[in-house]
Amino acid sequence: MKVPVKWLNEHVKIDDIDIKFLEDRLIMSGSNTEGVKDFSKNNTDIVIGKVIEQVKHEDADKLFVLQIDLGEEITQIVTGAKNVKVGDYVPVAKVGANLANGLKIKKGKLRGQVSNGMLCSLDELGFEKSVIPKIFDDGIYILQGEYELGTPLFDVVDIGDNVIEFEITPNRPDCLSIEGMARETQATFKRERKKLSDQNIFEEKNVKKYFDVEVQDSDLCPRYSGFVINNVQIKPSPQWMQVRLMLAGVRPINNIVDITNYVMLETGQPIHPFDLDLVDDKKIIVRRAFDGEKMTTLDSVERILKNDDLVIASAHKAIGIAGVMGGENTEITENTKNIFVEVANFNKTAIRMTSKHLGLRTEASARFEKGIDINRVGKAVNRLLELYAQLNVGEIVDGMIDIYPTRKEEDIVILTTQEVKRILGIDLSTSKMKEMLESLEFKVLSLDDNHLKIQVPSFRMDVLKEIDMIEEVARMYGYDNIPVTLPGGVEFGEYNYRQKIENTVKSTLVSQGLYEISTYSFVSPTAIDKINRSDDTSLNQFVRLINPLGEEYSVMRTTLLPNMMEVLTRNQNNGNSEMMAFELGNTFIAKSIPVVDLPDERKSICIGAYGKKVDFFKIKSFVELLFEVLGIKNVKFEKINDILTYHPGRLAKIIVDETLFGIIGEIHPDVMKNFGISSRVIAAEIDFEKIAENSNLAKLYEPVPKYPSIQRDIAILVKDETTHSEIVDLILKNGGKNLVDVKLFDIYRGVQIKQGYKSMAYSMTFRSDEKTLTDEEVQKPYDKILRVLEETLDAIRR
Amino acid sequence: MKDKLQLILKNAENEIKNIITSEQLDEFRVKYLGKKGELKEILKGMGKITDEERPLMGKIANETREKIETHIDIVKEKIRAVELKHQLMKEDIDVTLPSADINRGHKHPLNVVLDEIKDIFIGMGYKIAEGPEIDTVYNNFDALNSPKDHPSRSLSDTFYINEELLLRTQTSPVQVRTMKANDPPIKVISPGRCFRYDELDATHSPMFHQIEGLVVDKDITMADLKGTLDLFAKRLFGENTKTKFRPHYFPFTEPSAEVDVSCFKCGGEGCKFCSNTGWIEILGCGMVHPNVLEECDIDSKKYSGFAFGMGLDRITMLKYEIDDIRLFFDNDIRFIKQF
Repeated sequence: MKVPVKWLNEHVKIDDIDIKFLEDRLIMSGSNTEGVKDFSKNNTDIVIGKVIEQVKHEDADKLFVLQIDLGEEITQIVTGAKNVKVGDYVPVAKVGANLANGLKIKKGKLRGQVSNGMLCSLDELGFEKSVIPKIFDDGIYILQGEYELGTPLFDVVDIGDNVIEFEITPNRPDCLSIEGMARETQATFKRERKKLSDQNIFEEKNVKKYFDVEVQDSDLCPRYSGFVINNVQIKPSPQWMQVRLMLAGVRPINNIVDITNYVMLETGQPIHPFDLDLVDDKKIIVRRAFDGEKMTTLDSVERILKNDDLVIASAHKAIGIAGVMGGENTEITENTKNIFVEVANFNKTAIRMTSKHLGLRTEASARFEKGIDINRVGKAVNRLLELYAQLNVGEIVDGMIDIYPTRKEEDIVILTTQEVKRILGIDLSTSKMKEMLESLEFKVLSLDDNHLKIQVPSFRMDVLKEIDMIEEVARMYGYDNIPVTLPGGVEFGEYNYRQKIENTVKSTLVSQGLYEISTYSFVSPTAIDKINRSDDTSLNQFVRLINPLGEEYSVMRTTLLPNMMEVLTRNQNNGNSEMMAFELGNTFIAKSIPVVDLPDERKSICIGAYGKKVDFFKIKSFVELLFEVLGIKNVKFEKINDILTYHPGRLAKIIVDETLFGIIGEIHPDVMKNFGISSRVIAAEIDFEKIAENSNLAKLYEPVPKYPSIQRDIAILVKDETTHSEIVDLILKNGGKNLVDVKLFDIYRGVQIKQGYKSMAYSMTFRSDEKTLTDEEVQKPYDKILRVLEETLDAIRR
Repeated sequence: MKDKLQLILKNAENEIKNIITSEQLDEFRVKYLGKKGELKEILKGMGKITDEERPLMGKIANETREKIETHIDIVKEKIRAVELKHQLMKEDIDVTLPSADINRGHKHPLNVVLDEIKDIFIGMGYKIAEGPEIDTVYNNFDALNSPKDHPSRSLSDTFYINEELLLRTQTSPVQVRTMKANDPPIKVISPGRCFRYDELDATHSPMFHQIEGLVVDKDITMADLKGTLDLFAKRLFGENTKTKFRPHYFPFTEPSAEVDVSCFKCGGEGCKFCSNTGWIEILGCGMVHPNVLEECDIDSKKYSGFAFGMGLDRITMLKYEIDDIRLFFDNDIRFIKQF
């Protein structure tokens, strides 16, 4: 809401208040701003001059040489503007002047003719193209009336006024008007505003002779009013009105339309004038549109309507879309003689739906859909009549139509000092609060020490309950003045167990040199194809968005791996020679297709790495470390080869006590190709939920061994396909109770080893908690281990 | 004999002065104190001495031996020190050579700042509440007093799964879940991912992060809200930080406020980060609307509460002077390793 300060000053005296102070105080009382535009600030040395001579430039077809009277001097200016003529009063930027658009005026010569300055367009003075009247669109701004020559422009014309742009929150549509802001200013600065006339003029008198209205769908149109002006003279509105409209962001058009816009800005009530002679039978019917009914709006676009849309119609056709835009067929033109001015109230939801389905949002619809006080109508009509008479627009027919079947009652709210204390933490007397509320024009019907009975004016549609009233008290008291305390009671703060596990996972991986990444929760459905898992039904059980930003963000991720691959690839392409990364994030698997219930949303860990120092066992060591830190025992890696994402020879399931916790492997070359990464990638995908359930951060002291251990090595030849874990399992199973550790210390294949075999060397540690073991006590299990290895695996001792 | 002993001692004392290696010292020891050394040779003559003289001679001989041994110990220590020094000199290294190549990892910058914020609130007695990224329209809007026709509900603002499910646009649904599952006192923060229909550019991302807070108990006032956020701002941005509460509107709180903190870059004097205003807006907050409390089965006549919310991405960008939100999701290690 753009509020020109001089306009506001007409409603409440503020011209003695510093603009910055005015803005700050209004912000703190609840009217936030987006800043103040000062049109005069960036424009210097602009004075009013009069064109006294205009000749064509001898050497340039499109230029004119003008003599401009500036009062104390006559100066020559060369211009390309065509709309200037002798006798016009124009803004002249003298040599040395600065303009809002950044231009600095210098003395110049144009094709041999001296030019001492420039005539200004509204554009150059800082106005948006969209608010400049059509006649000044491509030309110089020509002032209405006569002025003392050489006077600074901003001394006599208000186009240099400050404009405060207020950010009006959706609960306060009453502030979308000069009057509304005047009311806030009144309450903030404790200065009484001048109220607009609200006299009762709602009598029909003669109007029905010229015109009639029938409201068929009063559920969507609770009030419909209007009056008639005959023999109108269409012409530009006066300069002061044009300037205010432009400052407020509205383009001046003609006197009839400008007055409706002016009153809309001032009171908040949208108004629409119809060319009465173009309305069939001089009767308006307010009704729902027929499905598929067509109508061309003022912007020359044919609109196709639905039954839920409300139209203003004549007997035979729609002539306007209620609260949105008028019809071309009844538009005010230069030839208009008689007009009907509509001032009505429409259902906000209906207007919003119509505006939405037509994709047509106007100043009027934006206001109606936020809600407009039904009693604005009276103020608007009064103000319209005042201005139409003042500007002598035509013959105003005495009387008006006002169809208002169900009068709105004003709400009563009780406010107590106890509630104010309970919510705001401050003690306020009822008399103090009465003063605050009355400055906002609430009517205090009665009060005692603890209660206020308040009648809510109809324009405050946001105030329904005591809490709404408390808010009014709070902002009038000043948030700044509310004391600063802390909540009482003793609560202890902490991470819960699952959050601790999450922190541990992250800090453990970071400690090992991994980078934490963060990627989008939505991905492309082709992500699963790219990791060659189109075969997997659960990974393709997508939660799909109805309205994604694009196909590449259209489904929720079912696995973190494709994003990890994207990130690794991007890093490789960015020239990063190695990277180890992890992401801890949610995956989403739909419980049914189409999705009905909330999906299965699970947290997952994905590790991915590439580079010289990265191989399967490096990543495996991270996984093992993670499980160790989290106190998860019995972790096994079981070789598999049937997941197409991975290298068939370098892939394992991560298993804890028969339960699958995740997988780890080297990415298949085909998948690498799909992403365009050339370095081999090792990845692990681990179910965080399983980890969280099975982790055990509790520690119990175990005594440090009292007796020394004995170490025995064993080296055997086994077939190539025999795995380390098979050997270790056998050793552990047969090593007896004193075998406490087995470690592989060498694998060897080479000339001394026969084809198809490898040599595996293990170091075994034996220890007892009861005594120092003797050689014989170790020899027995050692022999058994060797025998079992020989029998079971055809191992040969080396 | 006494003279002989004195001569030996004198010779030994002269000779030892020239000894510089352990080999020479060994030879010296053998020469004077060895089994066939000079001292032993002399002592062989003890038999010829009278019984009266023997104790005295014995004493002198012992003293001579002890003196020589003392000399040997002193020289031995000198030699050891010299030899060790030589050995250490040989082990000289170029300390400017690069060290072993170990890299520490890095947390994502958003989580670095999030951890800092979580720690502040945990210190103030808060627990951390979490909820799903996909939630119900009810939890995200209806229960939060959001008008049915509020523009934020539209398909051009919110991502929908179907008519009842959506990607949460705020972490407030976690507050709804928390209030429905727990009786007051409630004191939680809820950080998490949120989603809004915004095209990705330098300052917008369809996915971003929020941290919201909720306190519900008897006698919770707006003064408590001010105190809490003022303390938080001082903890996060420095002890001299000031806060400014401006009236605002949110459907789920009333009264509502936007909170500015004095610019932590310029200290409030005005700079590019605060657009020369001296203030940076970082929070929205307010007293939980009674409609929201009632909807979550909390008696609004008995309990009151406050809620607040802030954007993690924005705070992180301000803190580290990051000028493009896309950097967070590009995940280039040259970016992440800076935090």
